[in-house]
Amino acid sequence: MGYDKLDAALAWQRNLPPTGSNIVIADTLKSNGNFLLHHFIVNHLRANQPVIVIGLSQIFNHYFLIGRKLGINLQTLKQNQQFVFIDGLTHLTSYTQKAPFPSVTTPTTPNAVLNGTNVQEFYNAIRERVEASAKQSPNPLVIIDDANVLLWAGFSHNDVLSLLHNIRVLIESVKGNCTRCTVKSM
Amino acid sequence: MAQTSGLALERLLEDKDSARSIMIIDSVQQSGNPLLLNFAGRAAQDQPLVVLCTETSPKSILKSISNHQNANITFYDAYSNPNGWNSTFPTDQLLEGKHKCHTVSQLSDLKPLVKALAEQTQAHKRCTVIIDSLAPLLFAAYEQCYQLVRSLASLATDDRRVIVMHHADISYARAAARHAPSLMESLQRLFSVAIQVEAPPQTDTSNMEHLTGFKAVDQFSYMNTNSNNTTAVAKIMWKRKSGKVLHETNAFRCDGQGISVMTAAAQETEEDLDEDLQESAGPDPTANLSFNLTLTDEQRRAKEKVVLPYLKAQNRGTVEIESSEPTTTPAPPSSGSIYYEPDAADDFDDEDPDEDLDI
Repeated sequence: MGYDKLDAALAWQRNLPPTGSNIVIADTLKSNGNFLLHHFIVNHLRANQPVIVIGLSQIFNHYFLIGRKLGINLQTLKQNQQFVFIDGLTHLTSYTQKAPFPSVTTPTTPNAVLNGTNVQEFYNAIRERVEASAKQSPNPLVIIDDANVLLWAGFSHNDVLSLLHNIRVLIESVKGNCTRCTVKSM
Repeated sequence: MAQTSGLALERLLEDKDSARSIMIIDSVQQSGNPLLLNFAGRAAQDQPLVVLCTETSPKSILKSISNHQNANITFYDAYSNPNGWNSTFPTDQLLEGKHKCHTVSQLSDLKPLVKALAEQTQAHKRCTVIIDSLAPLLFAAYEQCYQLVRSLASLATDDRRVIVMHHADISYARAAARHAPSLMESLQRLFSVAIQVEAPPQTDTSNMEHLTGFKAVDQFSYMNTNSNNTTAVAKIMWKRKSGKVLHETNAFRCDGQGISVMTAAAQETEEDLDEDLQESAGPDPTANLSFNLTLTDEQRRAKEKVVLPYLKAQNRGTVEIESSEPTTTPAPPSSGSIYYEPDAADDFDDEDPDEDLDI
């Protein structure tokens, strides 16, 4: 149970979005919509379905700490492969060439790191994880947090749209759900 | 239903009058997808379809067409793998064992796609071509997309229809686009019918309660869900072969199975409001004066009886001139025509305009 009133308002079956749904959260800098992502993560994990977070704006620790307040332990769930975190923040562009990669085999290590100058490589990394996760259990939830970071990092509109489109097609093929967070300009 | 056969939208859906090329214009507020799928569904019953999918998957289009086993549909799938990133995706497949589906894996290269679509269209004497949405094509190749649409629209004859959906609220921020003529107008010029799908005018929340069965609780009463209503308004501009342009506004309701077309609620209330505003717009000039400018009934009657002195000249001698009672307000002449009869003193000499001066 994420947030009770929101659960009551949305009134979904088992508090999960219907299969194959594609949800866009558009918020502004003044009214942040991040809480919705945590709500969806908690609901999905409580229903024993895998969650894949493509974290472009926050590192794993952020979700872990908030998840702890809402009553789930993302580190153990990550070890069980129920929760997959793809780090898109630390090595997204060429600016971070000299930065160290997150150390391997710690509880907060992400499952994959998006590294490169090409959205197609990102897509391949994401696809690997999504297909691996879907093989284990059905109906994964993929969360992209958030799509604006790609634009701010300098990728062209076409690239970002292609990436989002291809992720959407990928998720349809594994019968999952997709939630995206974008920020509306003020 | 016989009584709705006169409505333009119904005639277009039923393909009664030959409308060669149709463009559906929608927006995020009100999607034109149900209308497009309805066109596809009705056309699939009796003619072959050629569908270029860019925003919806071929499978979902197939699902929305009832009785698709007997239909002859060829898909060009630019949805599943438009950039070619998924190398394991099959190039050609058969959907439901019957419908051919060619995968377009390089959307930015539109020339082969145009060629394939044109060939496929010309192979059938009577068919309907449907393009799901122009937006991905415009993103991929802005200049070439216009060529694609133009060549398809030129293929359209009385028996071959082209139906295209375009999203009006996407802006294509290209350097070329800034100096080119407006995209919407350029596209509209190519099509003989343009259907603009809009959300119905908002009334009040009791409508929302009736449609969705959800009564807004006080906490959420600031939220109103007024996008993608089940009922929508379609503004149709139909350029007929005779040269006449027909403008009509119809309302339609999508209820799972099909679309029922109705006449739009008359926009009279808006016009009445405008008239009321104009009447009460300016302050009354005859008030607050020290003298009386109003007319009594008797004076008004007398005023109407007055024959204007120059009425004979205006009506070319049909009315007798009579003297009149003094009126409180003079009536201004409605038109002026000058009759000039030059007399002896008038001398038309273009060279010396001052010749008749006696100094």
